[in-house]
Amino acid sequence: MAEGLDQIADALDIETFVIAEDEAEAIKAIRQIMTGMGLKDIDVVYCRHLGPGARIRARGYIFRAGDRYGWLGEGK
Amino acid sequence: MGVAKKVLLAPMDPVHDIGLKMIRRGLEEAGHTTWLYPPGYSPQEIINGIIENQADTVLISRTLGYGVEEVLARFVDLLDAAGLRDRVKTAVGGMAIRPELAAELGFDGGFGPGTTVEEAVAFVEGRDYIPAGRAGGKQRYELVGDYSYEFKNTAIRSLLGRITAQILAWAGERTSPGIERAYLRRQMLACAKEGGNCASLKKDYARLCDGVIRGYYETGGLHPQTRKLEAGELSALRRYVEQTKAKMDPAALRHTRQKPGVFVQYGTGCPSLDVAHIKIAEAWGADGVVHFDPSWGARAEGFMEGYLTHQEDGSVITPENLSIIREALQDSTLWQVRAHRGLNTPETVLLAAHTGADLTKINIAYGSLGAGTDPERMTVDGVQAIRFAAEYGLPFDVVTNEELSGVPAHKAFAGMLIVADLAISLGARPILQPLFCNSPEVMINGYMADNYVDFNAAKILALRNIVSAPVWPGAPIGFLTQTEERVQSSMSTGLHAALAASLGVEAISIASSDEAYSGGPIAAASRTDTLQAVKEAFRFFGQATILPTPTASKWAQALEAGIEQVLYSVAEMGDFVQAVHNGLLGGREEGAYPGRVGRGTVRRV
Amino acid sequence: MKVIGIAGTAKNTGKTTAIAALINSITGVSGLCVTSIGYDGEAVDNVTGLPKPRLHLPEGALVVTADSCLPAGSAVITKLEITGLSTPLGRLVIGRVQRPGLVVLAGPNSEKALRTVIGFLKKYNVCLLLVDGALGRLAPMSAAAGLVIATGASRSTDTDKLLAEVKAFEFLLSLPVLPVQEPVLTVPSLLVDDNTGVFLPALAGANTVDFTGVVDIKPFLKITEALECRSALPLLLFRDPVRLLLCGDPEKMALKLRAYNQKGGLAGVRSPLKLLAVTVNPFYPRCDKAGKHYAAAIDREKLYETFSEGLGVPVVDVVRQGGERLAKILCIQPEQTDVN
Repeated sequence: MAEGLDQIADALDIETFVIAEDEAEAIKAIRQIMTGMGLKDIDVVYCRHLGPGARIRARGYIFRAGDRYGWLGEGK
Repeated sequence: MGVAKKVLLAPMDPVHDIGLKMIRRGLEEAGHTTWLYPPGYSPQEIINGIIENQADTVLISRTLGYGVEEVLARFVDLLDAAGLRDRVKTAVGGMAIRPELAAELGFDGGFGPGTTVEEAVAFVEGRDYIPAGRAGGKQRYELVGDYSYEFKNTAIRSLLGRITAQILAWAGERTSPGIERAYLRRQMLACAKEGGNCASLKKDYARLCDGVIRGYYETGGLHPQTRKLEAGELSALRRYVEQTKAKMDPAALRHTRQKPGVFVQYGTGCPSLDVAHIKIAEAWGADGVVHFDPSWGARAEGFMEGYLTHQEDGSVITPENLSIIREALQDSTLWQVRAHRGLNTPETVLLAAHTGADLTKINIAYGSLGAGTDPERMTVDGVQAIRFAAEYGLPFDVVTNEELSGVPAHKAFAGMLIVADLAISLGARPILQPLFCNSPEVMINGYMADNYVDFNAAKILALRNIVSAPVWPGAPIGFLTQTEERVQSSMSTGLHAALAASLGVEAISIASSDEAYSGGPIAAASRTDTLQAVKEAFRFFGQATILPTPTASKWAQALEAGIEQVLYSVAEMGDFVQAVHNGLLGGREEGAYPGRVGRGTVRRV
Repeated sequence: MKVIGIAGTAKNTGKTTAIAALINSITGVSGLCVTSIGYDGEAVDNVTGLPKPRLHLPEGALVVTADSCLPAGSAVITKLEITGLSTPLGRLVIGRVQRPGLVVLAGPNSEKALRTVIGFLKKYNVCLLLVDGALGRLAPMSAAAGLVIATGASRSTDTDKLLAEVKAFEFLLSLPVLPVQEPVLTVPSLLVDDNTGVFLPALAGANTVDFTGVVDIKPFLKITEALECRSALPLLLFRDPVRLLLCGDPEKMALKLRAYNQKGGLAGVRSPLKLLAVTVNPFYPRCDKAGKHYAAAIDREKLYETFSEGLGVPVVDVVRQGGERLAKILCIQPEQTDVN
């Protein structure tokens, strides 16, 4: 896990505007970006494509319910 | 309508059938027969219903989940195997339903979130669905409505009459390099159009420029923060524009009200990025865009030429930059090029008109007091800019952003009305632009201690009491109420937009959600935030109005009285430029300093 | 023209993998045309988010797909003809691959539409039309001459259960083509129990019960129950095997028809659809506790062996054996290839 990620309460959102042909292309691009950042548990929370591209919010979950939360500082 | 259809609507979803209920109402209003099944029927039962009722259309709603698509596929399969598939039209709707999925499932149509009742009815009737916005293209917003420009406040009317006469007489004897350049530019444009040799005109033009600009004409050197766009960049941009235009289907921002039109500002520095931002803003529903040029452009005499990109905020005005932006605009988009300050105001109006702009921006008082231009120069040039605006039929707003530095609203409004009256007398169409803002005056006096409504409403009420003229709050609305936080910023813009709608103004200029962020350029995504917020605010209020407290009309009366007082003192002084210097329209103690750029450049003719 | 449908028992059973492997192994075959009764071509599955194989077509191959899908793939396709049919993604067109590449398919979505497409293709000298299935959909496949069934762990992770189902398919797809014997009782589609009653009195005098539509297993059992008290059992005639497969419980249907035959009755179809092969796929998407899908697998050997032993038709593990074996089974040979 990249340094600092374990301080994130639960998820890391990336919001941006992607110039893309359609919604699918925008989602693909944001997934690639997030995967490239080492995020595994990725969701696209919101995506709206109009004209030149899509307003998009992608989310990488760092912790989900039932996980061991890094920010609890266990074992430190 | 053609033949009445028999439509069976079946919510396979156990919970959600509200969408189908709405569609059913639409279908019945259009004269079709419908059966709405209770939720949770099996594919077999629905098909049986189709057979029994001899339905010719079936609309299924279902929220997707893993395994659900198998049920939907089975429904289509059974319909086919039962020999009904070819005479029964099928569509599925619900969250996450997209045309691709509908195709995979075997339906004839797929409707995702945001589908309108009209769209569903069109599908049933076998018509191509043309969204309201797309029918013949989005309509241009009609900004300057039917206003008589008559002054209801007769005292103010006669004071303005005196001031206008004085300004026109004074300016009539004077000229400036800005005015001379504008006339040269007009000749240059005509010469270029005729394909003549314009070298000598250009030489004359260069002589009237200064500093970097003259250097550009003499040695080809550019402003240090600018560079020329390369041919490859330009052709890529043109291709991008062409491709994007083909995909444009601008969203509608207004809900049930006809007003206000919504303007956004651009000026990233680079024409390419401007185009990107403009297309996004258009797609998200902006009715108009406003060109922002760099602040150094206002301090320089003259314009460079060519396709220039600039590394800082503000997109350089050149004939080519304006024309490539014009090319990128949707036909439905209103375009404003500002000419409210600096040493190139007449030429800016001229260029704007020649490039096809719809609007410009002029204010002599603000240009002199809030934007650093010498009052004498600003007045001479401003009058000429107004003459051009009248000649080319370009309405313009009269901005009052000097409020931001601390000038009280009544003084800023007095300046605005002086320019408006000048415009009316010269046959132009001015638009009043009061700020919706939490200005220093407001903060000091606690005018917004309770709410943001009353003082802003008071401004509109006061202006309406004075004159019949279009009002376009800006620029942007909610100034100094927004923070760097995106939700707060968008929310504030949205609420101010709702107030503007409630007050029935003609237009508003809105910020991006990056309004309060000063660390860098505005990002594209932030443009959509506030457009979305405004749309939501319009949706929320519809025809409902925001009711100001009784304080608003009290303040409106005070404002009107204040304006009259200021105009009286300006008229009494008998010298507008001197009045500006003397602080009658905003003094040093109010943060207004008469500008120095262009001092001593005005000469008598 | 040989029309082969590739149908799955569920999503992710390997239809598209099989078709893709098949196409790759028969690049020399001329007159190839490919379409889908659903939508094919997304890089990532619409539902599970897992990567989906995409179809790569060689130069010269024909495709039948929606207008809007033509520019979506990497293949350069020339439009040959616009059919009158439409899909949620636009009008159906026939195109020819000019430059090889990936294609996105959204083809005819009903039996009649597929038949219409086959009609259109006659003038283009198509020798082989491959029809990709969609989810577990089968109905349009009635228009095909032969069927490949793709099944696997995505349908069920229980190998025996999988086999039982496909065995039932095999039986139903091998029912003989029989002529009617007068007098005939025509029974249209029967999907709910309640509608069965009207036909029961008429059963007595019929020598053929002709099911012209689709019959759900429940009403069907009611009918057979009523028939079984008769001494001479009438012929049960179905329009085609696909309508049997769509009864809601093919295993129960197969069981019932076997029993019916044993009692001296006879079940058959008006038009056949031949089961040519079965492909097996051990992989399946699985959900973790957070609702995310990932690829899991069951015992590949066991799956293949169980099926090979249990079925009369050839069984192919496409991922392991490649498309060549499937091509051979389907008797598709590149013209130029020497068979020495």
